[in-house]
Amino acid sequence: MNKIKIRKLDENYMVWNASDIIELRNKHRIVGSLIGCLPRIPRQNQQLGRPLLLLREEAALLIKRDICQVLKEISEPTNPDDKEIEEFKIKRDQLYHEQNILAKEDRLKELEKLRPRIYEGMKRKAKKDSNISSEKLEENVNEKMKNLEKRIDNLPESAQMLQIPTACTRLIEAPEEINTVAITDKLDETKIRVFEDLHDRGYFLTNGSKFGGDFLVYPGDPCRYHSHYVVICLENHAKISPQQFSTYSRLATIVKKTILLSYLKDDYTVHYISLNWAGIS
Amino acid sequence: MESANCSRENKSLLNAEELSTYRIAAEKSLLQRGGVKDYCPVKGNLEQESKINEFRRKYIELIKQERVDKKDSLGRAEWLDDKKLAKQTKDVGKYLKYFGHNKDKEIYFLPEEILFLVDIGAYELYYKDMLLSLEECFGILLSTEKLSLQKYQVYAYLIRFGFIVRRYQSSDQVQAKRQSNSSKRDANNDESETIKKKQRVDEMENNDMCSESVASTSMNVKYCNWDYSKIDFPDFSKQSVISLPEVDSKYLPGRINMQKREYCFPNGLNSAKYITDVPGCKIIKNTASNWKEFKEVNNCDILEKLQASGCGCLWRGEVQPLLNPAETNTQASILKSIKANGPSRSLDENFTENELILDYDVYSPDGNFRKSAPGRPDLRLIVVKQNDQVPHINNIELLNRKFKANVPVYFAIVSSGDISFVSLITQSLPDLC
Amino acid sequence: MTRTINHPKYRQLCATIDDEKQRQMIFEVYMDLSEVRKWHNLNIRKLKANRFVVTGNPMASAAENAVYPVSSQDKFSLGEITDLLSSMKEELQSPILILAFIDQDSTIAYSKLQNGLNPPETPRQMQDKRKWAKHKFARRKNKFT
Repeated sequence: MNKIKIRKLDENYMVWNASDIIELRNKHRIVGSLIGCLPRIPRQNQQLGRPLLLLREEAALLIKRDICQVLKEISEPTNPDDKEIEEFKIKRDQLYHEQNILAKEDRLKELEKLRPRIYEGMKRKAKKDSNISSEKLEENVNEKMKNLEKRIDNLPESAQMLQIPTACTRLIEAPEEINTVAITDKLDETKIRVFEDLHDRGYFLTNGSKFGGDFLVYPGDPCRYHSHYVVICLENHAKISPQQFSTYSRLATIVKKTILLSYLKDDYTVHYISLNWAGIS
Repeated sequence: MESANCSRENKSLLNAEELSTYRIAAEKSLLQRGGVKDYCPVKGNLEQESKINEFRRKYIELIKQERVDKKDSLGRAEWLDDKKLAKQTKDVGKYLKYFGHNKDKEIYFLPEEILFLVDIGAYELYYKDMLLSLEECFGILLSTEKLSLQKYQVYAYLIRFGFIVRRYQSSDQVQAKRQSNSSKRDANNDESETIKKKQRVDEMENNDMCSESVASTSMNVKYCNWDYSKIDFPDFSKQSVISLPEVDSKYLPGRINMQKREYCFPNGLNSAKYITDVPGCKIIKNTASNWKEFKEVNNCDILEKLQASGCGCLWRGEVQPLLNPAETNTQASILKSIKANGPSRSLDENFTENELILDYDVYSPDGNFRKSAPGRPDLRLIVVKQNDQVPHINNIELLNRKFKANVPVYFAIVSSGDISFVSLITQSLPDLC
Repeated sequence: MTRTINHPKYRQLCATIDDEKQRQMIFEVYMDLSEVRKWHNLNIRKLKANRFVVTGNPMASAAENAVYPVSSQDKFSLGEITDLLSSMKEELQSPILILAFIDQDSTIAYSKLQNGLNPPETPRQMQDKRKWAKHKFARRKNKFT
């Protein structure tokens, strides 16, 4: 079975293959965020396209579960060999040739649709000259069609469609040996562990920065459901002031979500405290 | 394993049939965002299921889209790895209004510019005759100096909205560029003509960026076709009686009162050297070329008179009054001049943190932008990551001093795929009196 | 202060709560809930480890809530709050605890806490609550006019 391929760029993890992205979402409940232009409608921000940028926590989970392989970073161009360039040119020529055939077939089909009209036209003409039999008429139409078919031009070279591949097709080399994402500190580790724990409970998680938290937690696919929780990860011994609690309560009220204060206990198990609006203003 | 790799490899390349489907314009319906969402999944709810399936079907369709265009409309560029620039090898015109720069009759793109052009499927980027995929472009171009994925995300995000985004240029850089431009032109032209010409040249470049002969054609531009010898100007020099119409008092400073007069100059106007004896008009002996200067000179006069008067001793010593009558025209000016201390804007002397570096100049898409003379941007950007420290107050202060708030500086905070914009401006409280 | 000391409820509390600071805080929460928030069936309960909570129903039909007052000068780590919640859970027979943060000027801020995951109210619950709030507001308005 093919593993999902993740390309590293600095400390960013991206997925480039369409099938991988779809598998991540539908099978593994990994959402990520699309950051490229949508190829057919590029100049808008409402819906973006490949690549899919993963959260560090998402990448960490996929690496840990051995669902993916991390490909080596491309930081400088690789010199192509002559054979590769030759193959590329041949491939393009071949595609042009095939497109030409397809375009001609299309034109032929369009022409065929015109046949009844041509027949009618010739019939009308023939009425004036009543000597022509119906067989002769049929013959004339066929001849006319043949003439028209001959006139179908080749698809101009400049009108061929070219593809700029999104995912890399060349450098599929051995994956890098990466066991985990680089963990910088305790809080970083907390986030990775909390993400893993909530994900294992069956939730969908996305980036929570727009709500002032670390993650948003959805009961199902984010396309259909509101998120239930805003996760805020903290270190277990960090002191929280009452003002902070008020801030969180107000946030919870206004966004109609539960604030989930999450931390790692001393035994490294994840613990949550739910914080809701008290209903007392 | 070998064959498995191949099957995956081929998936990202379209065949001729698939390529042909891109001839038809795209369906403009995007994924439906927002709408009424549910609280949570309910088992056996068919409506929910069908909606999710519909979403997934569309999602797959969108994710699978490839960058395909007619050969005609695709630009081409070559990556120069030693210069870390892309050189244009085939032009399609429309993108050069906002992207690229001219150098030695060639057009070059910065890494983020060419990356965006590949991203929107407008240019093919080659390296040594080999077409680069977008994935390779991301890797190669974003590994160049001064660039990161986060910066590109912000750059692309703003351009997709329609903004014009350029790398940040300090005003020194802009001026240096301008001077070098004008000195080049000075070599061939009169100094007085240069300014007018420069404007014309800028326009030319704007309209005609893609033509390679910009530099040579611009030198032949006619800048003025008025023939002054044929324009009739009134000549008073030989008249002996000149009648001046009454001047509307609103165009005169307060103490001058001018009436309609006729002046006689028996030997013509040329003989009269100074009109010092015009009745009804008090001439101030000092000359001034504009109103600001005039007012200053006038204030000096008042001060001189004051010093000559009885209370002049007040201004003679080292300690002088905070106010002088010349400056006290309005209540606001009095308040301003007696304010002993303004808002504290001191900088920490021992401050060692690195200065904040601006990343991008952003122009609003109002159609007046010109690549050759971008002018003052509408805002400037600093791209930061979510985990970066909040900038030190000294850095913010330095920033505000540098730009005097005439161009707002925004921080673009990138957190994975989300981008938020924040501004940190030192505000002084308004005077309440 | 003298007024507080003379208040009959406060005098009553003197007999049950020894610690003066705690007594003062319980009294303030009690008064706020009864006089401002108009809670029903207010009670003061003593728990283990000499802790006191105010219990009551925000509306006649709602379940009982426990409010634990703390000074807003104090800071807590998440571990401490977890311990507090779990130690009170059995005695209160409810996982939910409301913390009342009392400021020096007797401003009180309430936060509803629970160990583990507690999903937000469903749209239905929220609608009911809004209806009830409207009803309560209308009743209060009638009282005054």
